[in-house]
Amino acid sequence: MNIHKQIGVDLASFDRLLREVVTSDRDLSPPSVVLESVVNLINSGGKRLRPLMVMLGSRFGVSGHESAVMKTAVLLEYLHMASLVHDDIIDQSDMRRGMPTLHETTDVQTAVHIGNYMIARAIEWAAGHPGEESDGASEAVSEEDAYRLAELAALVTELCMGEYDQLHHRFNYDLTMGQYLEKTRCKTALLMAHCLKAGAEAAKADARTAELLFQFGEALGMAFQIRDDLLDFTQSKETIGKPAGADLRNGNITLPVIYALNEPALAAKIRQLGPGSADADMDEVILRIAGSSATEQSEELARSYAEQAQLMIGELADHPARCDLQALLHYFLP
Amino acid sequence: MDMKLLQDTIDMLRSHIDSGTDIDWTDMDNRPVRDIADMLDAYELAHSRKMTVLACCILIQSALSKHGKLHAQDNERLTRMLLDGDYLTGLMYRIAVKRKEWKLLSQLLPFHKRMQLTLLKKNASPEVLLSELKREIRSYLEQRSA
Repeated sequence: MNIHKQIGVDLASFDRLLREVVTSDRDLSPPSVVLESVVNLINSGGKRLRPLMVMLGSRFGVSGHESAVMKTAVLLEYLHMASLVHDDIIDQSDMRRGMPTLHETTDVQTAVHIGNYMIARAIEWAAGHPGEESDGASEAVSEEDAYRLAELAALVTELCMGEYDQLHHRFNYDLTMGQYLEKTRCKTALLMAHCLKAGAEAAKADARTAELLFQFGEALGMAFQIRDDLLDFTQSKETIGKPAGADLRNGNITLPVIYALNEPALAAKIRQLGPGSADADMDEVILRIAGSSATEQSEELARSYAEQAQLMIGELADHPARCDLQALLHYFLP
Repeated sequence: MDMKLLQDTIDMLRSHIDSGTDIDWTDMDNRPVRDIADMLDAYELAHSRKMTVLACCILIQSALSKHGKLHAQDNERLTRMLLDGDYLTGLMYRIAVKRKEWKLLSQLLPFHKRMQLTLLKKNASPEVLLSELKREIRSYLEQRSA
């Protein structure tokens, strides 16, 4: 059974809500490249894990706040989709989910503005004018909720910090463990943590519960990203959909590389690699890292974050929704 | 022009911008910001609130400028400009929320959205957009003082 069915989330209804954000925008009149592009992005699918986490977080609150929860979920999914549009430009990716990326079907400048539009429109739709009927959304939100939603949009700055770190440390083999962990936190873990916390807050859960959910999401995100970084070395091109070691080839120093640098013979080989290195040299080092103790050490750190996440579930043991958290943990870290 | 307002706003922005971004401000055209600072002079509003208005305008103008300099041929430069624009826009939300200026943000959000739509049209002029920003701010200030 997939995670959405297991947790009881209706993806089709959620996707209709995603489309409503853009189809209800009175500033867009068909035919519009923006309307068409955003609807295509939604229709191309995606796991909708962030909204799932928002909805899961809301189960730790009280009922009666479903509209605020769904608006939070929609906003965070738009934030995620827009960040993918910009990430694809940075990574020069031409395909996503089997479809050409937005900057390929339009151009870089158009894709950037559509990404910007998506975030601005999502907050406008979700928050509207507190106390008044909002444009296209079912109910007006309180001013407190409007601030909460706008603050979530500000998470863009954290996501950017992860990307800045990656940019500044391209092929920097002196990247410290602390710097790697901070980059990973900004790039992946923080958004997951905020999704769970935002869902709880939208449903008026108590502050301690919201904070525990944040800590669970952060630990889960760290474990997930470390595993993902590890898979980049250990899985085949066919399994991960990109050449093995793509991170290192792009100069992105991840945890297996940091551990492998502790092995003097391997470190010397790694440090010779740079932007202009031959594929054969890259292939050799990637294979050696995959066969080194760096993979087991990385797995060990991922496990320790997974254990932290499990501890957080223990802290929430009295709550019925803890089973959903357990399912989520199992989904991300089988 | 109220130079203290301008300096205080810039100091406030610097304190919010993470040093890890390394954002380059030297290529900014500061005329539009000075125009808005001049306009703020004419309205009764607490100094700290004027700072928030001016900070949001600086951030919108800076993000517009950064996202207007995307050159696909140079990926590193493109990445930097794209991140700078994204970061500055996110910071606008953060500052408006932190300084409890929802009314200002709810005025700027639809403008920011429409600005993206305008920029998709051929021959869109940043100067025209900045004039529109000034009109939005004037409208906000008129409503506040009504």
